[in-house]
Amino acid sequence: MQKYTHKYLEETVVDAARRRVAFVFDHFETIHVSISGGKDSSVLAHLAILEAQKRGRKVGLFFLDEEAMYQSTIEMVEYWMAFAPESINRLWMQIPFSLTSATSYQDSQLLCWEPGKRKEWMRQKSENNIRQKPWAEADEKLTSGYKWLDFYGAITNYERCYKGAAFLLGERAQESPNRRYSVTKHPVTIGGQKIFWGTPRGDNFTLKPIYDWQFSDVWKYHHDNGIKHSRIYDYQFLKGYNINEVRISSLIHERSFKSLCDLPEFEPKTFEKLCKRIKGVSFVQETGKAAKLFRASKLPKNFTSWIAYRDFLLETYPLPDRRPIFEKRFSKHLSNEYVARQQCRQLICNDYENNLPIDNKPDPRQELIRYYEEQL
Amino acid sequence: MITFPCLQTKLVPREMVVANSYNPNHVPKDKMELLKQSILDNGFCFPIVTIWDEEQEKYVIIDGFHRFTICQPKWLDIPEIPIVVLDHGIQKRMTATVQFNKARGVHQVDLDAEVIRGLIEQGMSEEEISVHLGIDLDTIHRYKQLTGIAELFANAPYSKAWEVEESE
Repeated sequence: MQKYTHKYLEETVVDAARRRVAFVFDHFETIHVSISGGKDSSVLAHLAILEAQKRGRKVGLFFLDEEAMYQSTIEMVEYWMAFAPESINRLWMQIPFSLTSATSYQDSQLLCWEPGKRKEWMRQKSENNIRQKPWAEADEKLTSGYKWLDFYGAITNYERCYKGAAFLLGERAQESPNRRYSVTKHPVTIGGQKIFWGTPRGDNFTLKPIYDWQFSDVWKYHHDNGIKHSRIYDYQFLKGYNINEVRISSLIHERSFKSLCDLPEFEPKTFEKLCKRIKGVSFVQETGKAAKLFRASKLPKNFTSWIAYRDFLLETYPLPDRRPIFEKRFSKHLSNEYVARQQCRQLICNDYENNLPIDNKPDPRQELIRYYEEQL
Repeated sequence: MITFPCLQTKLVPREMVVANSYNPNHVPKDKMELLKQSILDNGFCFPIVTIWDEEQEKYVIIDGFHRFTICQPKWLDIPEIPIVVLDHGIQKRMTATVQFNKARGVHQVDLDAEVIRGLIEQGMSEEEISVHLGIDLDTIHRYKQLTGIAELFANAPYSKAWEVEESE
């Protein structure tokens, strides 16, 4: 059986990343870096821009703009787009696609940059950006199970506009076990070499040249090269976040409660705009930290079991046409308190897309209780 | 028409005032210390907002439960306390409590940091700031640090690169 092992090299992550980026430039004509305004993609953008400058070539900086974003993120993207204009192709996309919002049952999809609603947008588009979908509406491919173009769908369709291109991502194996696996999952052969940090994507490739970086490497690289970082990281650090948990997440997402809680303290103006744009934002901001509601970690006092609470939530779910989605999903689950609590969380977060998957197993507490019953 | 109850403040014995049964606001211990410090530094600037309850023959608090707590023997032991009396029914009373609790601003993190750096520049010691603003020293150290997060890693070594290898 094939086994994969990690082998440490006699070079730093910076030298290895430079070597990998050079390798990409050796083998690809079209190279795009996905940037988010975050620290990891900033490092990658900087490495790629330096390599492009060295070779007198250009690198595309791709940014899919979700409209509802931190002002600091927008400023970071502007910073990178202006970093070395002669070596950069500006691929800043401001096109309509839908985002799931857990803050309101009524606005559960935010269609960012919705046509005809210019006055409601949080910001106006810039004429330097790509403001129309660069693909034909008839060719548009939707993510399976979706009726609308979602975030990943937008990326997929954008990638389908190219052939033989290299899309560089700033993902790091340290970030999650899942991503660690993604480094080794589908290796590709490029120029006769097996590349574990790459994956085929349709007619193109995604490549992750900084997969082995630690967060300390990322920050040291920022310091050593004098490149800017988003103010959100400094705010989080000032607020007492642990240095390894500072990160910029989406403002509208099932998991965005934490970023919303801090938003009024970080960017009061963005918070005000967001409140106008999306219903429920202010409510989530106030209650997000009160674990009871959104994390469903404490049973409301007028219920005696999670199962009863779930049945109540299901019965009173405000959108009748979506209720069957939950009913069908829950019918496949075990019936116990452990599972029911997670079902409550899905209902409260309006997670009809199953983004917070349910761990469908026997209640671990029951086992513990049985154990003690036997012992005593 | 807008009224000005704040102009009708009066002093009453502490025993004449009681808490309401519904206030959902909670003030953590360190903020109580800050409130105490604030009253020591600035005096009692904001009266406790109450209504007169005919049945109990007491003033019931609508806003200012924690200022009231500060008056107790355990804290500052203030025997006569300043109150204003509103003429609200139960419904208006409950909404007023929530209005008072929620209609207030939050401090923008970086502006807070500016204030602290300003105080340090004016010669206030970190210990003094800690006492008067109710902020722990660790946070003050963070606030003092102007240069941003990347600076912290200036002297860290880069880690070693690794690769994935196949083995049989």
